[in-house]
This record gives sequence, C-alpha cells and structure tokens, in this order.
Amino acid sequence: MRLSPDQFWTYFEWLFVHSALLYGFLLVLVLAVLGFLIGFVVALLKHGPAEGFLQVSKLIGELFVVDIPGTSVRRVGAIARLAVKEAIRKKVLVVVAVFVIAIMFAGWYLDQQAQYPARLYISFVLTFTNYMVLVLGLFLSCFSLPSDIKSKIIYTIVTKPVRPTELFLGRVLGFTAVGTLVLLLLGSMSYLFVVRGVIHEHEAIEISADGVSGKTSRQQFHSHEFVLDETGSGVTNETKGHKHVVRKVGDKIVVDPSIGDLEARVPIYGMMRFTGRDGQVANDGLNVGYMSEYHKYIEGDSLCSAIWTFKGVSRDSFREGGLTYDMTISAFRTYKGDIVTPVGGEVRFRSIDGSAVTEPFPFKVKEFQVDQRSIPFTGLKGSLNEQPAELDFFRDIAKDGEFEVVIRCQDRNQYLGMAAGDLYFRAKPQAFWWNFIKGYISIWLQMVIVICFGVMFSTFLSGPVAIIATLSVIVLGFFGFFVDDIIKNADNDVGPIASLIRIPLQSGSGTQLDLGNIPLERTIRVVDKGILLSVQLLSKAIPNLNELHTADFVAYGVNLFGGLLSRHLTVCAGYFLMTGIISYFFLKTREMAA
Amino acid sequence: MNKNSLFRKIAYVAAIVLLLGPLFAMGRPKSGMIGQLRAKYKMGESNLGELDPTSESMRLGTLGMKGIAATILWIRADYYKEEKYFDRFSATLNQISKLQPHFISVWQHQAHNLSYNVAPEFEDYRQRYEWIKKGVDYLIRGTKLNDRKPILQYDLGHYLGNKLGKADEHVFYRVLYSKDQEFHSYFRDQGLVGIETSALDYNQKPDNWLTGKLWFDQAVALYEAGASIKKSPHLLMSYSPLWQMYYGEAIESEGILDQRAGFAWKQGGTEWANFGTKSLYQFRQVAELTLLSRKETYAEMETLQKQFDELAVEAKSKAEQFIRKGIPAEILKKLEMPEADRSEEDKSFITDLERKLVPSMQQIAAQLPPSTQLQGLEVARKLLFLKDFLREIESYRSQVNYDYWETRAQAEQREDMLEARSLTFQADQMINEANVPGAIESYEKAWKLWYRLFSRYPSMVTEEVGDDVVKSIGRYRKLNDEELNESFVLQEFLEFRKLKEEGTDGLAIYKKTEAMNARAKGLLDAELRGETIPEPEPATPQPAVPQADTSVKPAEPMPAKVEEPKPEPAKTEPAEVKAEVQKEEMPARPPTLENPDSQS
Repeated sequence: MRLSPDQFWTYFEWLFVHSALLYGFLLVLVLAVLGFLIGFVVALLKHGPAEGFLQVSKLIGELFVVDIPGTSVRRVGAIARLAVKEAIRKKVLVVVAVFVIAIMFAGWYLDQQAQYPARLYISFVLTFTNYMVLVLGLFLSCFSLPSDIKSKIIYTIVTKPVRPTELFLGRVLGFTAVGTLVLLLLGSMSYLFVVRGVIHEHEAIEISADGVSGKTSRQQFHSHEFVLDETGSGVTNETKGHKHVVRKVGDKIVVDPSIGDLEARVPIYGMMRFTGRDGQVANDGLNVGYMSEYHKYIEGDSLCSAIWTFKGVSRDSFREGGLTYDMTISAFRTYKGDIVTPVGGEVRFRSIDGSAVTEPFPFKVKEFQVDQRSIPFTGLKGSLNEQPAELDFFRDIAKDGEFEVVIRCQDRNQYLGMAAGDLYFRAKPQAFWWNFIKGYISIWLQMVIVICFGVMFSTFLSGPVAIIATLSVIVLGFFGFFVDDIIKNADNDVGPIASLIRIPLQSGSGTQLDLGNIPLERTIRVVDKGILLSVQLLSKAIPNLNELHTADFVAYGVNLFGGLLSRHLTVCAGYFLMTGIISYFFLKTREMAA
Repeated sequence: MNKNSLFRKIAYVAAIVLLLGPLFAMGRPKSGMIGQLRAKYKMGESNLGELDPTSESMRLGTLGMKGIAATILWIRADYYKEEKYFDRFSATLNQISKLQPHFISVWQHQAHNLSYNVAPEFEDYRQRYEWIKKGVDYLIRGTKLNDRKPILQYDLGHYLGNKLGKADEHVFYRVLYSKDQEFHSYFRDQGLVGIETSALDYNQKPDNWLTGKLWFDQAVALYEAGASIKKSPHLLMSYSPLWQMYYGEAIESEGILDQRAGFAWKQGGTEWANFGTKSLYQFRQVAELTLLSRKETYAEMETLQKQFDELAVEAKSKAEQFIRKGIPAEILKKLEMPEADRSEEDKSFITDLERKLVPSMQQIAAQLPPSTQLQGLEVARKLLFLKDFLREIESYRSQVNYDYWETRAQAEQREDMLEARSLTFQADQMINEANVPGAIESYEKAWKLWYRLFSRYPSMVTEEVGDDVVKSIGRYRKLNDEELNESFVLQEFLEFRKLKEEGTDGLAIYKKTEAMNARAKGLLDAELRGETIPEPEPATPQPAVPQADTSVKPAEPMPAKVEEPKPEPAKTEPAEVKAEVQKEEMPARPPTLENPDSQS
C-alpha cells in the first residue's frame, strides 16, 4: 500500500497548517465573483445594465434573506420522501440483485490462491460497491428533475410555496437516503462475503515426536508450521497474510482462528528524511533505477541513512509490554552474494537532540511482508550523553513524545529501499468492522458528491445530457491524473487537434507535428493549449474521486485515519454547497412554470 | 400517401427476407458456410481447448468492448508491476487471460513476467520459487485452453529446466521442487503423465529437469500430431534429450558420481542418438533430413566423386581450356606476373581469375563425349545436391551442438570420467572441511584423469566441462598459494583455452586443434587395440603462448600411432585443406575439436 505524507496530516494540520481553509475561502471567492459576473452578463443581455445588475443583486439577496432562512425542514422532508418513492418506483433495488449475482460468482474471477486473499476480497467488494453505487447515484439524480419538467409534474410542485433551496435539498437528501439504504445492504453482504471467504480452521497434523512442533492441515490452499513454547502455546508462521495461535489443550493441539488478515492496525507515522554517503542531510534517497520513484534507497555499509521523526507519541497509545513497530523495507542487490541470507540493516532509536541513542537492532529484510517488531519500554541498552546507559524509552528518548528512528543498511554495495509509510509504530488496533464501515463512508461521500452534481446538472440540462455531464465528472474524478499527464507533455503536440491530425498521417506522438506549414502548426498548438488548459481547469474544479477511494486502507488492514476521513467529509460538504448554490440560481432563473 | 407507405413497407420486408437468405446460408450452425469454415480450420471454441464458462461470461459481459477492457487491464497490469503491487498484478493477469484465452502471447508474456521478472524482485528465495510456480501455473492454465499450441508446453519445459535448474539459486530451487509434493500432484492432475514414474530422480522424487523433459515430450508429441509451433523442429526435439543430460550434470554437481550418473548420461546419449535419427523435414521435397544422415551422405558423395573423376579425366582439362579461351589473353597474362610485383588490387583480381579458371562440375560434364555426357551431368547434379544437403545437415548439427553433446554423453558414462569428477568433488568438499592436504592430493589425482579425458575428448576442453575444471583449478591454485608453473599437468589445455579466448592467433589455434584431434584419434585406436593409455608425465617447460604450438609434441605422452594419424573421413575438399596447411596459412574454415569415436 502506498501512502503519501499528506495522508498523515491531522484534520487541523490540513485545515490550518497546510492552508486548506485559506484555499477553500479563495475558491469560494473566485467562484462567487465568477458566478456573479456570468449572471450579470446574462442579465445584461436580457434586461440592460442597470436592470440586469438589479436582478442579479436581487437574486443573491433573496438567497440569503428569503430562501435560506425560509427553508422549511418539513417541505424538504416531503420532497425527499417523494424522491425516495420515485427511486423505489424506478426499481433501484435491482442494483442489489446485480451485486448479489456478482458476489455469488466472484469466486470464478478472483484468484483463490492469491498470496493475500483477504486483501483481494476486500479490494474487490469495496471497488465493486463503489462503482455500483456511483452508477446508481448517477441514474437516480440525473433523470428526476428533467422527467418532472417533461411530464409537467414540476408544475404541481413549483406552483406550491416550495423554494428552490428546498427542491435541491429535498432531491439530494431523498436520493442520498435511497443510496444509503442500498449501500447498507451492499455493505452488509460484502462484510459477510469477506469474512466467510477468509475465515477458516486448521487442525494440527504432522506433530513431531516431542510434540512441540508440527504442521497444520491444508485449508484454502495453504498450511502453516508451528513450534510450541514451554507453556504449550505458540504462533504459526505467516502464510497468506495471516497466522494462527496454537495451544496445547490437554493432549490435543488446538489451532485458533486466523489473526492478521482482518485487522485495522493503527499506525503512527513519522516524517522521513535521508542522509547521504557523507552522513550529511540529503535531499532525497538514492534511485536504483526503478521506474517507480516511491521507494528511495540507502547504500549499505556507508553513512547513508533514513531518519523518521515522530511526534506526539505517548505510552498510552501502546499495549503493555512494549513499543511495537512495523517495517516494510525492500532490498536492492547490486550483486547476488549470499542467496540464503537476506540483506541486513539496523534500527536505532534516538532522542531529537541526539543525547540518548539505543544500540542498533539488527534486522534482515522481509520483502513485501510486514515485519512486526517490538522493543521494551525500559531497559534499552544504549548511550546517554555519550555514556553507556540503560534507557527508558519515554523518559530518555521520547521526552515530549518526539523522537527519531534511524535505519542503515549493513551490507556493502547492497541497498535498502523505503518510503515514509514503510516504518510506523503500531498503536492499539481498531476493530476491523469499524474500519470496514469507514471504507463504506468514503464510498458514501463519493455517492453524495455524484448525486449533488447530478441534481445540479439536471436543473438546467435534459436527462441524457445531465447523465453525460455527471459521467464526465466521475470519469475526470477518477482519471484526472491522465489529463495532468497530457498537459505535462503538451509541448510534444499531443493536444486533441494535433492528435486528430496525427492519426491519418500515422505520426507518432514522440515527434513534433510537421505539416510543412509553420503558421498552421502554431495555430494548432495554440488552440490545443487553450483546450487543454480549459480541461485542466475543469478537472481541478471536479472532485478527485481517487483521493476519496480508500479501499486500500481497509484491504491492507490500516486504520483509516480520522483526519483523512474528516477531510473527505469537508470536501464533500464543499461540493454540496457549491452545487447547491449553482442549482439554486438555475432553478430560480429557469421559467419552469411559465 | 398510404399507398406509398404500403409499398415502402413491402420493400422493407422484401429486403429483410432477401438478406435473411444469405445470412441463413452462411450462419447455420453446422452446414452453414461459416460453420463449415470453422470446422475446416478447427476454429471453433471447442476445438481450441477446454471451454471455460467464466471466460465466456466475462467476454460476453464486456458487451463487445473486450478489446478496450483487455487494453485497460494490460495498462493496469503494467502499472501494478512497475509499482510492485504484485498480488494485484497476478490477479489482473488472471482477468486478462479470461478475456483473451486464445491469445497465446498473453500466456507466454505474462508467465515470463511472473517467473522471470516478478520472482527476482523478492529477497527470499522461497518467495522467488513461489512466483516461478505462479508463472508455471499460468502456462499450464494456458495449455488447457489451447490444445493445439505446443509452444506453451515448450515454455513449460524451459521454465522447469532452465529457471529451476540454471538460476543462481538452482541448488535451493531443486531441493524445493523435489519436496513440493503439492506441485507434483498439480502436474499429475493437469495431465502430465509420467511425473511419478519417468521424472523420478535417484531419490525417487520428481526432478525439475526430468519434469521439464516430460513437457518437451508433450510439445513434440503435439507437433508430430500436426500442431504448429514457431520453432525449428530440430530445436524443439533437441530439448528432451538435452534435459536428460542436464539432469545427469545436475546430479553430478550434487555429488552423485556413480553408476546412477553414468546411467543418466547413457540414457541421454541414447536419446540424443534417437534424436539424430528423427526426420526433421524433407530437403527439397526429396531427401529426409536427419542429423545422423551425415555419414551416409559423405559415403555417397565419395562414391559419386570417384565416378565423376573417372568419367572426367580428360574433360577437366578440356573444360579448363574452354574457359581460358573465353578470357582475353592480356587478362590471362596477369597470371604470369611475379608475386612480388603484384599490388593489392592485382592480388584480388588474380584470386578472382584463378577461381574463374576452375571449371565447375557442369562445365566439366559439358566437355564429356556425348556417350557419357548425360551420365556425367546426372552425377554432377547429384553431387551438387548432396553438397547442399550436407551443408544443411552441418548447419542443423551446429545449431544444436550435436557433436559436443554426443561426445559429452559418451565421455560422461566412462568410469574414469566419474572418477575424475568424484575426486574433484571430494577435493571441493575437503576445502569446506579445511582439509587442505587432502584436497590437494585429491585434486592432483583428478588432474591426471582430466588430462587423459581431455586428450581423449578434446571438444570438452572449451565447453562446460572445461569451465568446471578451470574453476576447480582456481581453487587448487588458492590452496597452493602460488601460480601454476608450466609443469602443471593441465597446462596445455589451459593455454589452449587462453588461445581460444583471445582468438587472435588463428594459426596457432588451428595447429593445436589439429594436433589434439590427431592425438584423440590415436588414443581411440589404442583403446580399440586394448592398450592401456599411459598416465601423463608432468610436462616439460614450454614456451609461453602463442609459441605453444611448437611444443605440443614433447608434452604428448602419445603412443607411436599418434605420429601418423589416419586420414580424416573424406570431406568435400580435403586436398585444399592439406595445401593450406603446407603453406602455413590460415584455412578458410578452421577445424573444430572432434570426437574421434563419433557414430555420426
């Protein structure tokens, strides 16, 4: 799972330190000015400058003075009820049936021998539910108003004392209620599907003569090996992303249900920096030649190191017994060397001022696995003010909850690769079901945004056109990065017009467009840039649905941070407001009952 | 208006009926044109392989957008691989294969990705092994859906052999494979007949090389049953016996240096000889080409050449004169120019001219008297055909390195070879146990045996066997902590390898090769006479390379026979080679190290 440092920010850090509030305010201001100007231009053409300005001002005034204060919860509720009835009449529950069929046959498509079946199942249900619910939101929201207008049912509504705000709110709330109900059903079924697919039982077989080690029976394409300690208990090796506790009960050896596959680890992340070969702070780690630049590397047997700084860590966050931390470090070998022994590294914990440092804890890389480790709170060997000492973690190293973790690679000419999210402290875990629900809340937020856009477009577009417009929002929301990629390469003549010309000319996108007519080429370039710029602006105004897609957190067993979810809630509220205001003006100015 | 509408409707119905006719004719399930074509070319889904309902439903589910869906999945798979989301990568490959079950490149490309690209990304060799298995599993699933594509079985043979048996981690992979009962059962369930009988090693557990061999056998069987494969038949057929020999090599490297290894090589040699008798194709639709048809072809050529020479005693000079007549006198005069006066341009011109003056067999036949001319032309035609045929055989043989493997299989069965290997292996083990004197003693005994073996089978000097021995010599040198002097018993071979590696002194290589071949021939003759081959004496000091060729003889503990080697089997232009040697010039085609007791 890939995490970017911005995902570690708390809600308030995001809002205030990283200026989300400021940007939000500026965005509102720009949109308000832009909306006013567009409204004024339209009114100017219709009524002339003075009357036009008056009309626009009056409209804005009415929103704040009349319509918002006068919005009735009862009327909103009534419209929402109508929306629910309408949705049920349109047989939205078909979506549930489709989902049931899909998960019934999911076993056909999903690799049951996958290395991490739980991840695969969770990713599947969350992604599939996500798409289903977005499509549901799309169809529910886009056709309702246009069909009311077409069938003139809208007359019966707008001739009543119903405000545009109530119309928008009612529709959005009604459709959201239906969507929520569907999501609840899909979520419950998904949970059962995942749990049923993952839970399994083993029996202890092939027990050694001394009765302390053995192998489990084979279930779901895997088996485990185990060794019991003197107390008669032990843990199996990790296979398919989970382990089992093994206990001796009387003469029998009992294998407990799996642990580790359906979990919600609560990671405490730190910010990472690197030092180079000279031991000085470096801008970045080394690149060993991979296309992906997610992992940065440190060289073995040199002064290269990766340093994480943690803040706000307290003893209360951890279970009794020690400080648990997980690592997912990767290795890169410049020569094969010893094939059996993995590349090694060492971890040190030190105070921010460097006065207290533990002795190095050596480790061997466990690539593409979570290497779970722990150190005791007290009795740590190390040095304090350059004198050998026994350290207490929270007294000497993490004095105010702040400390550093330093990783080095031990093997000469070999490299260790890591990203900020590859080392974290594991606080007391959350319940998996609650993380699962949080994953569904993310889906719910995406659905609400799509419904808001759908209702907004349907206030001024016909049903099919509103569908296309909302679908564009979804597509751009998921593939906005693609637009960014194109714009980055705009110098290579890859705009829409240039691309259209390239097709019959069979000219590759790696070359400059050569039509033998420089003014024509320049014109095409300018027009293309204009089009791309507009698309880019549009894509920026459109919600980034990829960012709201948090299935990975649930699938990889990482607790979905409260801060991140709150951010997503705020973003959703922002779009709700924006689409609400735009819808209001369209509903207000459209002469539906004329 | 109504009338027009009626006519229009009638026209529509008529057009529909008319169009339905050909549609019906073409589209009837069995007797329709499309159905017949499908049956003729075996393009029906059921002809291609097993029917997979999942794949079918998935393809239908894309509503005609299969291409787009597959493209998106390919892009996604690439992204997952690049970003090292390997579990998702593997899951995406499964989806791709459901959408494109009969696109062979999907199976080949992505299996290779799994076994050769993803597997090495893992630090733990056990994880690497698991990912190699995933690639193998992917290929096997491909074979189920594509009955007539032996290339998948061919790839499986390679993966099982090469990937598990030749990778740096092969020692561990072989052990893992040997113990992987689940994988063996999977192979058995997938129809790999013989996994529990023919593929068993000396421990009675399936061996990766022998399992790979079974997959190659399947590929060959499919090919012989008419399935097409984009591989030359000789390459395809060579792998099964080769894998048998690699099995022999593998168990030897694991210390199995007794009759079990000898048997493995014997089996390999027999299979290699059988492979040599297999018909690869019909040369010019006339002659069945087999790798072992070289001997008969030589013999036939010799007979025909004799016939032709007898017929063309006078005709040859006539033909020469005829050619000379056609060339202006001033040009012919150039031949008389003293060699010292010739410029580079003259030399080139004269060489061309001399070549033109040599009459071809057809030109000679044209000068024969009418009574024998037809016969002469026929013999000349046959000879030319046989020359081309022989060239083709030689080309095929060299592509599979037939001679080397034939020699190797013979040599590896010998007791002295097993003894030499055993002594080297023991010495290597003794180093691990810090028994230096024991290791040195064992190595020194081994060098004498290796000397005899290299003398007897010189073609092994520059190949894998030679490489292994050189590695052991390196270890021996470290034990002695000093450079080897010229009295080292294998010095001659080391120098020859050095000469070959440098490749600059062609003449020295040539002479040395000839001498080694002659000595080998002599040793064979001695063996056939039942004589004991003497132990090699430590070589007397030799001049440094490249003058090594002049000192070959003193170092050779050869029986007298070696001094006068028997003539080589008749070749196409034996006289020319002799002439070249006499002139101490580089031959056009340098000789190769030979196996004197080759049956082919």
